Amino acid sequence: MKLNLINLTKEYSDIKAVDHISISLRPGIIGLLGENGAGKTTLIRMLTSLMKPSAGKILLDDKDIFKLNDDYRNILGYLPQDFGYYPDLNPLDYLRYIASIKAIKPSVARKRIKDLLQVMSLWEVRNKKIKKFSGGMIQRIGIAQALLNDPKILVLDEPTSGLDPEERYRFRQLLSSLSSDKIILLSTHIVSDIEHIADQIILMQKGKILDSGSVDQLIQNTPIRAWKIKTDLTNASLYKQNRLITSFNKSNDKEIIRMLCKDSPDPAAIPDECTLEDVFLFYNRKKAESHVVL
Amino acid sequence: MLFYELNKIFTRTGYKLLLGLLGAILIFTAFYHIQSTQYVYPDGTSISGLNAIQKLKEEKSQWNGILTEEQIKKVLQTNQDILEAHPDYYPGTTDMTLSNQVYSLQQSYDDIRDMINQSYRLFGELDYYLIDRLSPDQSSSFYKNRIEGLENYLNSNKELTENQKNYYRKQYQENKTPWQYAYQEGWKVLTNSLPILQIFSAIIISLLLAPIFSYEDKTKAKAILMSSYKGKSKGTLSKISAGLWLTIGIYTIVMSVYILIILGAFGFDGAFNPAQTNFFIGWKSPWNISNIQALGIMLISGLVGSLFFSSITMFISYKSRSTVIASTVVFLLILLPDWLTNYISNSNLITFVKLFPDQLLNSRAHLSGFTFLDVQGMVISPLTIMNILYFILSIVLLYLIYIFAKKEYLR
Repeated sequence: MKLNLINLTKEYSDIKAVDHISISLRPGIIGLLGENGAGKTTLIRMLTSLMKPSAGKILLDDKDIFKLNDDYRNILGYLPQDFGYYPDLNPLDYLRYIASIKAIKPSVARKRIKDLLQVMSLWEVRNKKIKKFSGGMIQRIGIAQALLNDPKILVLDEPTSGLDPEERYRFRQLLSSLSSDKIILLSTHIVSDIEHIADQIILMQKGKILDSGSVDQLIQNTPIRAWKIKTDLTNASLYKQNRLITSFNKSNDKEIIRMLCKDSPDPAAIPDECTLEDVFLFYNRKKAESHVVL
Repeated sequence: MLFYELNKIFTRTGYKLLLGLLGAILIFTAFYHIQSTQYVYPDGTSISGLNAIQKLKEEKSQWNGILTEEQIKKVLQTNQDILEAHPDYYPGTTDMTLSNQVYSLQQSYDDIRDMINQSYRLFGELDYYLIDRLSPDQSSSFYKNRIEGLENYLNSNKELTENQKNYYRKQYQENKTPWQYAYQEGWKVLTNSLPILQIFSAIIISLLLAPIFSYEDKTKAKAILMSSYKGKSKGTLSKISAGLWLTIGIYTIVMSVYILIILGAFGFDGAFNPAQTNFFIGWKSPWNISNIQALGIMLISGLVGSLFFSSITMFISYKSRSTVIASTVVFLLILLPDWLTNYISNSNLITFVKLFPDQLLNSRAHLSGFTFLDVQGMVISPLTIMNILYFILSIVLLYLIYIFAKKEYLR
């Protein structure tokens, strides 16, 4: 199974929300990383057939998804960024309704709903109205509905918003267990959601793909390294003004600063391990903070 | 799928309250009509409610039979005898005890009195005391007056076409006289009160359906439905089906319960009386139908009207994505046109406004009056046109929702 995005573009009057994107997606977890407004949601809306592109195509095994129509949606699971639910229904009725919309056989749906509610730790509250649930519980219902039809293509837009650290961890575990035969596209601006589970990461900015590949490839492709330096407060202040700082810690009259730049900023600086978050920060902040020395 | 669509509507507290309100209106209307029925004793005192209905039924049933001129003469003679026995009585007397004592003797033929008053005024203004000025010898013109009154009306009316005039003449000639009369209080109450209940039912059904599509936008659940396997097709169909089932279900339940309560209290008697004997349809009615047929026409028209308002509510809910807009537009469509006719003097414009769908909820007015239209030489009731037109429009609106939804994409 292969999902090919060919020259995909979405324009709103003069703005290109998605700008000539071409990429191939294969089974595995694909992290879609970008700041708010990078075009992730627009791209996802096209991938979920909710929105038609202004130009370009999305092909599933060489077939246009908009021509496949219902057949494409039959293998799709989707959790939107703003997960819409019916506050007066309980999880059981809500999932039964979604199962009927997804044309899942009642006998299959019954088992699947029970399994998913148990996995999402919602079985005990299955008869309680959703409006009485916390944000995390609601998000878990959203994830459950996306998985209901055991989709081959699973698209999750900011799925971990509202989840506490324990829930995030469990969610990542769940995704890892699902990923062998599915294309799982996970859009987020939280690097830790995908850093350790994504097989491929797509970095987006202003509707374009900046880079894509594994975490290691992205780090390799980024023309900067991380450096740590312990310095006095005066120097630290200067670094903060003209360097791409990722963190700093005060210790007595000294400060430990971590920064991103191509070459060592000072003979005393020691190289630090570069992370996906550094890559993300580099791409997003280098334009906003154009005065910094890289 | 249909079950869950209905479930989505009925699990919401606001909508349970709306259904409760409709139930309360139904019970209040039925209770009001039962409780406001009075029976007056010979001493002038009165009772109301179920006992009054029972006694009134016994009294009025005395006059059951064919309304021959001989029977009319008997009524006129009885009325004259009562007045002669009470020389101090005169119409509009302030002596309420005396007035009630006289009425207690007249109440048994009150329905026939209404017919006589309408007959002898020759399409003129209603005069409740007209019977008091008639002698038994005038009974022979009871049915002739109807033909004569029609001729007077047709000759003085310049807006009616010859086709319309000929049609009314034909209807009057084909009306079989003498009429069969039986006590018919239940049917009178139904024809009088059903339109208001139909209006309330249509409004509440529309309010229930106003969020059927817009709720998905409000809750942001639409994205999931649109990206699901059958979300655009069966999902939309299930909403449309839910709307139709809810409309037909609520309308049928409300009407059936109301009819059963009223006929249970007042009796089924009089079902086959000609509609002309029913004061609330009227002596002049050009429809040669019985009470039960009149009720049938009112029920069918009300159902088509409710279906149309439901369809337009769902359509607006889908297109505007706003529950408020859908509710407001339909609320105005139901109530505004009839009110507007008070301010319109142009007869063509009135005829046009009288073809608006709200008229289906007030079909009694069309059964009572001379509202038939001349369409290219064919004389036809606006009710027939409206029932066919709005039924087709309902189907078209629902079909359009389905087509639009199936091809819908976010922008």
